[in-house]
Amino acid sequence: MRKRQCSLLLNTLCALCVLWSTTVQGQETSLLDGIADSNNVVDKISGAFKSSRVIHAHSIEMISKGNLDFRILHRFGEVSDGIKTLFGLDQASMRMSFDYGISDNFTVGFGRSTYKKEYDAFLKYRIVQQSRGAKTVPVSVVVAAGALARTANEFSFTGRELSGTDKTSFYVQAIVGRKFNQKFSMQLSPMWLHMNYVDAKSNDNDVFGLGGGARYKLSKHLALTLDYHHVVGKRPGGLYDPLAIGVDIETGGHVFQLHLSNAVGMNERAFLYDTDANFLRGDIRFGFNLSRMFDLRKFKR
Amino acid sequence: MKLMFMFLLLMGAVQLCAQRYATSTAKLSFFSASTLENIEAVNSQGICVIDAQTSALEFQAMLKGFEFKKALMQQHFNEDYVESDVYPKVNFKGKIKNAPKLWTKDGEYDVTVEGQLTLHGVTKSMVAPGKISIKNGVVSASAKFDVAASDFNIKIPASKKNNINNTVQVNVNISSFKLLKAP
Repeated sequence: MRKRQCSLLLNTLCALCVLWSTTVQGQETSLLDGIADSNNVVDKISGAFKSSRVIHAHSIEMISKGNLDFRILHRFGEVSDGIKTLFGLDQASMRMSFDYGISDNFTVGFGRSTYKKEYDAFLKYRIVQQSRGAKTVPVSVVVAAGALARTANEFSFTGRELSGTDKTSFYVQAIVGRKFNQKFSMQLSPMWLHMNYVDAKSNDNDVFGLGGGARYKLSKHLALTLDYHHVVGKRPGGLYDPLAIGVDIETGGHVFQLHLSNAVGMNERAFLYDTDANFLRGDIRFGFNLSRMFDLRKFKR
Repeated sequence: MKLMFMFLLLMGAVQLCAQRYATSTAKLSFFSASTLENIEAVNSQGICVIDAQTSALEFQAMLKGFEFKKALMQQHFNEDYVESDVYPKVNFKGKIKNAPKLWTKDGEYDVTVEGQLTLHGVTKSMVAPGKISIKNGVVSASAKFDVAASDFNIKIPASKKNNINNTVQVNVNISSFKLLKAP
């Protein structure tokens, strides 16, 4: 009797044991379980904007390490000038620049505008990049700082010729942006601009630009863009907030940014402080940015 | 009876600690030749696990881990072609045909891998020839096969037909597997 009980117990145990081993095996749906967990990988989000500029302003995108971005920018005359100037195309203001990626998070750039013969140089650093997975970071944060120098002859309204120092300005900018999904990205970019000399005591040497930029992808190679700055600070009369609406067209190594805007300037000082047309009243210019990327790295296999 | 119990217990234990070979440094590369330019990329962070007992094999790699000759190519690959924000990884799940019976014995084995390749939200059956070699107890493996982008709903626009070939040659190279302890 006792022996039978014992063997019964053993039988049950055996059955349980087999059951246990099979269920444990059955649960193992993937060999990678516990080895490859996609949550263990930091998935960096990039491509919030097609280019390192939204339209006028720096975007949260950086130039990849070892890449040189050659940019040619044009702003034409006002469209409202009509057919006589072929809707402004007769007059072109131009900026040419070279931006280079020292690392994936550090870009330097240098440019010159025909407008007021102004040179500009900047440093741009990405503090954090938006990511998901092992490390969730909701936004990318970038800081940029630059110096600008006008070289065209300028005179104060008392008739004194302005010195090089007078014609020098500086800006510091923080850019916080997020790629919300495959199509929509947005950024906010407060900026502080200091000009060594402004023409009247009543105007501020320091003005602030509260920038906002957005992009909406219509297809893989076409996107709508918006770039706006609200300027805080006392400026001479007749100046307006720069606003631009455009499309980004990407064709392999080139990005074409075609847009309508009220700004004639293509650097931070010029678009914040020299925009003398009112977009809402229809004083609009056609313009384009052309970006050509050169990869100067050697491929390591 | 007792003996049988012991035997079953042992079987269970053996099954539980089935020998698994794994690596997280599998080198995955691809090459596409076309009239205007060649496109090649390397990812050396592929994860591969082989169950020596069942000959089951699984492979996985993050698409953002592919490094290209040009940064722009890499951007376009992720943004426009494989859409890695939406489909972050490539996965293969299958079985090794004519796998070595003893994974500890030195030798070279020509094998065939059969299974399902998942990429860009599409799963396709595929067969690829491969090689497993065991030398001084170290297991290494390689495989070579072609993948057609169109099979995985990856569209190459007409304007890029001269830059990108629809057929991509894929190479997998695993220099050494680690023997995994039972989980």
